Amino acid sequence: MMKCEEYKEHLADWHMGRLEPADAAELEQHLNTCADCREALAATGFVLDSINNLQDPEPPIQLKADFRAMLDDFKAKEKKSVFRGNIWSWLLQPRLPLAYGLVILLCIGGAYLLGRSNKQGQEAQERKQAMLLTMLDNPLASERMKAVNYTGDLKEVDKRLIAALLATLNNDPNVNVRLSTLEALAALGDHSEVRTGLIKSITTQDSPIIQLAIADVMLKLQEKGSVGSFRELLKQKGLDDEVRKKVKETITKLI
Amino acid sequence: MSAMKKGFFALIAILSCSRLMAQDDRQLVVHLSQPGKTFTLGVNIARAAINVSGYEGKDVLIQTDWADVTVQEKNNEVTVAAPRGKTFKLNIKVPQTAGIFKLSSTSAGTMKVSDVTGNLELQNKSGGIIAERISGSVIASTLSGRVAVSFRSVDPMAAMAFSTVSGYIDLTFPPDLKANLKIKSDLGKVYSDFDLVGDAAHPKVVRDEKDGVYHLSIDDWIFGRVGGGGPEFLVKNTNGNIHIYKTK
Repeated sequence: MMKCEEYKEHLADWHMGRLEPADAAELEQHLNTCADCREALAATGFVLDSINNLQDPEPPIQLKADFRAMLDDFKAKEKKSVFRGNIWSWLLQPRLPLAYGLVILLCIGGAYLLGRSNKQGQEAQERKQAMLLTMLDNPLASERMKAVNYTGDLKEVDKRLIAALLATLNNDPNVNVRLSTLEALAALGDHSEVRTGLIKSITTQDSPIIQLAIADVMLKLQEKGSVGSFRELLKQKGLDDEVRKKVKETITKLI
Repeated sequence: MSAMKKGFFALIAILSCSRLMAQDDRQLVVHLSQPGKTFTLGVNIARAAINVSGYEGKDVLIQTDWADVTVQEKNNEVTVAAPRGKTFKLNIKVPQTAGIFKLSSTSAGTMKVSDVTGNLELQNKSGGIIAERISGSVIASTLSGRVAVSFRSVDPMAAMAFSTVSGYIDLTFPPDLKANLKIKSDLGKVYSDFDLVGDAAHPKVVRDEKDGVYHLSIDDWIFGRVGGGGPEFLVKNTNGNIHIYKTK
């Protein structure tokens, strides 16, 4: 029987399927009984998978162009020196592959670092979004409102978060949460699905506060596509007088 | 049936967390299952003049003048319900330990909460909302009627919001408030004696230093940081002025 430390040395091999079947079986048996090693395996696996999943991004175009220019320049000089036929030409000759090699190394290194930081940024962004989605389900209106306000800090929002915000706008039991959500969505007005969602929401909102605010948002976004929905809203019985006035004004300003 | 017997039956009903019929204008005593811990008070009644206040005690006391009121207590969560029908009054006394208050009514005049601690979610339709000497956070919304809220202390982490269509909004915070205010009044004016600091991304605060009061009038949302900034407070109405003042 091996000790934990010895098993741990084989975790990476096991993860990549490089262990002999007998050794693998023994390790697996040990994993069944040792929580510590299972944790170590999970960590190893995560690191290995992260490395495997790293993509090799294309080097930037500028870099390619610079390299090409440098190479041409070098070739031209090379030609001259070859004509001169002195000892330097012999010395300079191997530098061509060396230059290639160096630049390629730099490219790979740079691209790797660039890719990694991008990936980290993206992961942080995704974690933030996942946290916001959970917060939107919080029973406290104050917490849901905080989640909605945080969306203003995100660099990018994906379709899932937009769908969740639209669902909050249409279904949240608290009027003020819906009002905050409307303002957050208004700031995302350059997403077409946000505009479509807002237009759809016009006829389903029952609170005059939201109806008035949505008219303001459509004016701000200059969304002419909302006119039809506003006309539908005017047909609703029992519509608040203030809202009726505002919606009529909004239609006139939009067309 | 003697009064004592009635009281006994009411107690049994509360203890078994089941339906409870209130007698006319009498007080129900609801024992919290975990006294001293955060409790929740949920009231969602179409036509009740709701009045909640904090008192020195461990039980939740409910006083009403309608017999069809149902009260339930389960895991420190007190729910008050009643069928749609007549307008009635509902006075509730709660302990001063932290609570979560979710009160909702539609058309029975002003909703009033005073001297309580915790997270308040107050919704009304025809009628104002008054919350006085609150420690914690408030989210209040009505359609016609004023929203007047004063704080004894503010939950530094909580986002808040105050909105109405027709009615003024009158907010009073301790002078050391830290918040990001987001304010809009369509037809009214905004007044504050807090030092509102605008940021580069948003329109600057317009000052009118008459009487040492900031007068803000911009046809869009006003963004102002108070005390270096904090959670967002949204303040919005259509008709009526907005006052945001320091506790005197």
